[in-house]
Amino acid sequence: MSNLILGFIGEERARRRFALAEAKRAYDLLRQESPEKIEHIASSTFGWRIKKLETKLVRRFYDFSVSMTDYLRNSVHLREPRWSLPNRVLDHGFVYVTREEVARLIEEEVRVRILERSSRPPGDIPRQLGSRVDRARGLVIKWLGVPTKYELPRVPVPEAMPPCVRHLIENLNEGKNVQHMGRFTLASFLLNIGTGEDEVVKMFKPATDFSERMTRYQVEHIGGRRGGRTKYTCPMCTTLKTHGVCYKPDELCETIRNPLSYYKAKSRILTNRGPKREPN
Amino acid sequence: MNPTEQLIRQKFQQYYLTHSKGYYAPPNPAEREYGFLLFKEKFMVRHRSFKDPAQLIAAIRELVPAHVYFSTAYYGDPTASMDEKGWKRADLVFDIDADHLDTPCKPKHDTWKCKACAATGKGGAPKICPKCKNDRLEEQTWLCKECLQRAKEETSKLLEILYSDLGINPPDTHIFFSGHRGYHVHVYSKELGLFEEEARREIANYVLGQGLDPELHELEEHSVGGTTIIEGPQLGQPGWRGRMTAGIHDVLGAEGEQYGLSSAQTRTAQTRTLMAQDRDAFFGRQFWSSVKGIGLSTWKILLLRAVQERAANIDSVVTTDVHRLIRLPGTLNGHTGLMAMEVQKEKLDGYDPFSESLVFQGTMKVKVKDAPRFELGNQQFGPFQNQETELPSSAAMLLLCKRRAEPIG
Ligand SMILES: [Zn+2]
Ligand SMILES: [Zn+2]
Repeated sequence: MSNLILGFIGEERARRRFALAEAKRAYDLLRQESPEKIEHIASSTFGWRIKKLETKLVRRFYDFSVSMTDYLRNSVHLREPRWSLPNRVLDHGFVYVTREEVARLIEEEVRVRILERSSRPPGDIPRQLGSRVDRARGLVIKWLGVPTKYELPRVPVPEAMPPCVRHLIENLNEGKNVQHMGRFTLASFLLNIGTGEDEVVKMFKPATDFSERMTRYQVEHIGGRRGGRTKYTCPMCTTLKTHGVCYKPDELCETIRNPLSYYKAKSRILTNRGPKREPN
Repeated sequence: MNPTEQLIRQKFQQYYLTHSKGYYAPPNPAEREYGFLLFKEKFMVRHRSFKDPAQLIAAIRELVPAHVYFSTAYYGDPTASMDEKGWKRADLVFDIDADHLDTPCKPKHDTWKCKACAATGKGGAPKICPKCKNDRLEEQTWLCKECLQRAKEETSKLLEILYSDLGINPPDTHIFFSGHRGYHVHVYSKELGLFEEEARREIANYVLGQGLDPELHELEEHSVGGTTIIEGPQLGQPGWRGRMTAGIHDVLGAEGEQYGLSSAQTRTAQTRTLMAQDRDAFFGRQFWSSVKGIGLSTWKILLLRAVQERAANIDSVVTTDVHRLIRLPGTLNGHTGLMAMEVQKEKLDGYDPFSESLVFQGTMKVKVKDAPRFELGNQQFGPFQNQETELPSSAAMLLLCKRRAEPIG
């Protein structure tokens, strides 16, 4: 009997720890997303009433306003004074929030939802924690996962790709013409993060002028298997900017000088080994 | 029951038996818990519910309570014990009471007495007895025009915050005169009704401006090219930002004196500089750094004072409690004999609690122990000191309910 109880307590602790970890992961992912995507996730996945605001009051830029109800449901768990309602800008039932704050509020929403879902008493024999974790993880990925509109290359952490690379993949998939510098950037980026050559070639298939033979040749060349046997690295951000490949740089972009460093830094964040959430 | 209570109860009974209109039915009346405080031994009858308003009136006529309450909460089973009632939601309510207002007239009409050491004093009761440090203090309060006027002003401030900041729909708000020293505002909203204690505390704090930090509203100091500039909220911005900035007007403007700004402790060179500013030019865009010698800390103090002026002084305990019993409008208040009643929003400014809430007809003879001068039903009475007199029933009932008078005979 006592073993059984202990088992449950152990699970409860793990449950909380897991919910917290997944929620933090959600925060790290969201914090760097585009405002459009954040708005979409908040409204369609969590049913928030959220409005695009894009207003600067003194120095702070408020991307959104969220309904007081959605705000309070999550903010009441946050203890810092900046979350208390009297310290917020409240306009006709909507609270002004920055993009980072929306991510933080969603983190809270995710944490509570995972706890709620996993605390439902199991109908049959209690499942092992592992499968429950998998189930909940699937849930989180469903909520926050990258859209399935186009296929992403099989790279270790697809969410960690910088905005420019994502944009290139998007353009290729939509059949838009991608210039040489763009193709070179995509291929060299993917090869450098360890994507197989076949996989890289596949990425160019949707292009209107796709020739498997030519593409393979170029990819092998960039990868250093042909020509001068030099493995090409990914172009620097400054180069990409001059060639118009740089696309909607985010906060992290400002701290790096090469898309590969972006990928490295973001992977670290996403796998929870990154720097702590910025204090404020 | 003593003779005074017997007489009050008898008058209440007459009123309830002869009036079947004017009771107030809150939304979903059958899902509410009702409570009655009886004259007899101040006994509280609770956990009652009524399928329809007629049954409620029947119960009031039978019990003739001194006070009638209903729950702000909606329950699955209002008659069950507290844990088993099945809470569904609760109206968001705000209580504005002269007890919580710091009006200058209080020492003139209120007194307190310590139940432990019999020490007495003027004005509102302190938290603990200054003599014996006991907290069992008894207040003798009076129904005062000035106090109720202040309560009304607080109510107006509250409504403005509810509408423009919280986005509450004006038709969802209902204002009630409590029949004594204040007003209640009830918000009927399915969405806000689901708020639990913590969210309601946030709302109460918001309305009170409690814990508001001007720096979190971006009142900031920056260094630009070697010079320090101060930036901050602007007039016209939503929420507390615009409100507290406009409040600086109050604090610095013509009204400055009455807000105590010119009192000795605040009459500093800085405030004098501020009060000398040309107001229109002053409230231009860059005004935070336009006054030489005024720094961040002074602005912060002034903004906090502005917040105090513009905040609505509610009793946050009432707003936070999701199981609260609150006075049922349309019933008599046993502290005064006046009727607790709904006040139409459009008519709040002109509402006169001292004439519109009177219900008793005719006159009564009473022996007044002591009473200050007061006004009721547009008539002046008193002051009285140990004298027998014939008064309009409402005035006599007020004195009886306040235990300032006794029946004759
Ligand atoms: Zn004492
Ligand atoms: Zn007064």
